[in-house]
Amino acid sequence: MVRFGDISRRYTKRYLVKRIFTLFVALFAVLILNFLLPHMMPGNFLTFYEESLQRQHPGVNVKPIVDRVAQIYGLNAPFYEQFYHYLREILSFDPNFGPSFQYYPMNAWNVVVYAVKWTLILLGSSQMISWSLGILIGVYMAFNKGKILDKILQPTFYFLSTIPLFWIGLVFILVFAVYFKVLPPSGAYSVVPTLGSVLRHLVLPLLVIVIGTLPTHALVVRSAALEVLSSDFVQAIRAQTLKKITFLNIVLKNSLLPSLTQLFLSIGYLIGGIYTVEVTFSYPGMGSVIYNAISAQDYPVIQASLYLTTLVVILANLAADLLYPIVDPRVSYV
Amino acid sequence: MSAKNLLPILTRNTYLFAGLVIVCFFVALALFGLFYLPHNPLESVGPDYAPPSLRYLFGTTNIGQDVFSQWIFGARSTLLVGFLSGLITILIGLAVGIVAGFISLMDEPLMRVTDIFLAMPTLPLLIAIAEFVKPSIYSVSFLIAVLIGWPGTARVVRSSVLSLKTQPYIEVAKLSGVPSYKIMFEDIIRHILPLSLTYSLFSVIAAVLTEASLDFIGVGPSTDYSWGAQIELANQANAVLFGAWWWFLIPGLSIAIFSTGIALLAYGLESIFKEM
Repeated sequence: MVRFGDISRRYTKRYLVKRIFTLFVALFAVLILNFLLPHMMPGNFLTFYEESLQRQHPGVNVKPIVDRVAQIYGLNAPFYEQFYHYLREILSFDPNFGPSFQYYPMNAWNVVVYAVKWTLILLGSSQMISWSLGILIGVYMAFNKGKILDKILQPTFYFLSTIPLFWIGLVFILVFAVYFKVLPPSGAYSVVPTLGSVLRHLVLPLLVIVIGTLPTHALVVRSAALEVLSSDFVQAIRAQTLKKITFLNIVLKNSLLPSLTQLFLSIGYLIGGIYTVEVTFSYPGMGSVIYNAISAQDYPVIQASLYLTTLVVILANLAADLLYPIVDPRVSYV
Repeated sequence: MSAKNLLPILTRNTYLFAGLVIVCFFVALALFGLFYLPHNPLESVGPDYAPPSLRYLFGTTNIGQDVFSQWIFGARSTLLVGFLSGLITILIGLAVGIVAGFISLMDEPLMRVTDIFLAMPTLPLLIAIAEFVKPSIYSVSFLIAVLIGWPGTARVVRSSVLSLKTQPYIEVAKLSGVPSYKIMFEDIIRHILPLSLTYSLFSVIAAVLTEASLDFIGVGPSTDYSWGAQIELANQANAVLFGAWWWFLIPGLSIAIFSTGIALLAYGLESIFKEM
C-alpha cells in the first residue's frame, strides 16, 4: 500500500521511465517463454505433429508435409537462428504464429484477434461496474466502521472474493437458465449478433465477474478510506464543519489511487479468471479459444493467445501509470 | 504463549476463532480420508446421477461414483497444493525480501525482477505453461508459488525489513561485527516471521483457487480428483444441464469455505500482531 505523503516522491518521471522499462522486460520475458515452451514439451514438436497428422489422415504419406513444416518454421536451423526467426515473425505488425492446427488454413493470430474483443467487452464492462460500485460501498463501509452493516459485509466479502468465478457461473446457469429459464446459458448472441441478444447473453457472465471482483475493490477502498479518515488534514477539514458532501468528495478522491493501483495490478490474474468464466458460459472470447485449443492441442493458438493476453495486460498497466496524474493531482511526471 | 492465555484471545478474536475451526475441520477431513473412505472414490459404486441419500450422502456422478468419497479424497490434493505452495512462496519471498531490504546494493535489481513478475499476466501464463509441461500436483504447487505467490510476499517482507534495519539493536549487531548473513537470517527473520507467515496464508488461498482454475480449463493435474477437478468433471459431463447440482455445489463451496477460513485466520492473526 502506498503510504500517505510518499505519493509525490514515488511517482516521478524517473519512476515512469522505470515502469515502462519493466513492462518491456515483462513482455520480452513472456516472448522468450513462449518460444521455449514448445521446446520444453515432453517429446519433439515435429514428432508430435507427425503423429497427429497420421492419426487424423491415416494412409497419407506425412513425411514430405512434416519436412515442409520443419522448413517453414526453420526447425532444422540452429537454436539462435530459430529464435531470431521467431522474433522477426512475432514482432511484426501482423504477428505470425503459424496456422492453427484446428482451423487449418486460418492463421492462429487471426483466431485470437477475433476472440479478444469479447473478452475485452467482459473485462471492461465488469470492471467499470465493480470498480465504481466497490468504491461507493468501500467508502460507505469506512464511514460506518464497526457498525452492524460493516460487520456483516466484511466477512461476506471475504467469502465472496474466495469463491472460484467459474463455480459462481455454474450456479447461475443452474438457477437462471436451467430452473427459471429466464436467461440463456451459453454463447454471446443468438443466431445473429443483434444488440438485444448480445446484452441478454452478457448479463450472466458479467454478473459473475462483478460478484467475484467487487468485494476486493470494496475492501481495498475501505482500508484506504480509513487511512485517509485518520490523517491529519481530514481531521482539520472535519473541524471546519464543511458540508457532508464536500467532505465525502475529498475522502473519495484520496482513496482513488490505491484502488486504481489494485485494479490494474489484479488484471493479470483477473483475466485468467475471466477465461474460466468464458469457458463456463461457452462465451466466444479468448478463454474459450484457449480451452478448445487445449483439448485439440492447438499449440500455435495457445502461443498466440498468451502473447495477445500479455499485450493487453501490459498496455493496461501502462495506461494505469499514465492515468495516475489525472486521478491524483499530487502525482506528476513533469 | 501458554494455553491459558490463548483461550481469552480466541474468544475475543472471533475471526481467528472461526478461521481456526474451519481450517481444522478441513485438515481433519483430509487426514480422515487417508484412513477411511465410505466408497472407492474412483469406481462406479451406485446408480448414475443419484441425488443425495443416506447411502450416497452427496449423491453420485454420471458414472455412479460416490461424490461424498470423492469430496473427502479431493480434500487432500487441494489442501496439499495450498499449503505446499504457501510454503514455497514464503521461502522465496523471505529470501528475496530480506536480501533486498538489508543489502541496499541488491534492492534495486531484486525489486525490478519482482515488478516484472507483477506485470505479467500470471494466470494465463500459468495456463500456457501447464498445457506444455503437464504438471503433477507437486510441480503445480511449485509453479504457482514461483509465478503468482512470491512477488507480493517479497514486497511486504522487504518493506518491513527496511523499517527494521534502522532499529538500534540491528545497528548494534552490525557495529559489533556480527556477519550480515547472521543478522539477516537469524535476527531479522525472527522478527518478521509472524507477519510474513500471516501474509503467506493469502497465497495459500491464491494457490487453491489457481489450481482449481487450471483444472477447470483442463490443464491441471485432474487425475488427483482435487475439488477443482471435480467441478471440471461435472462441467464436462454437463451436470448443470442435467440438474445434478450435488456434484459441483459441494466442491465449490468447500473451496470457498476453506479459503474464507484461511482468510479469517490471517486477518485474526494480523490484528493480534498489531496489538503486540
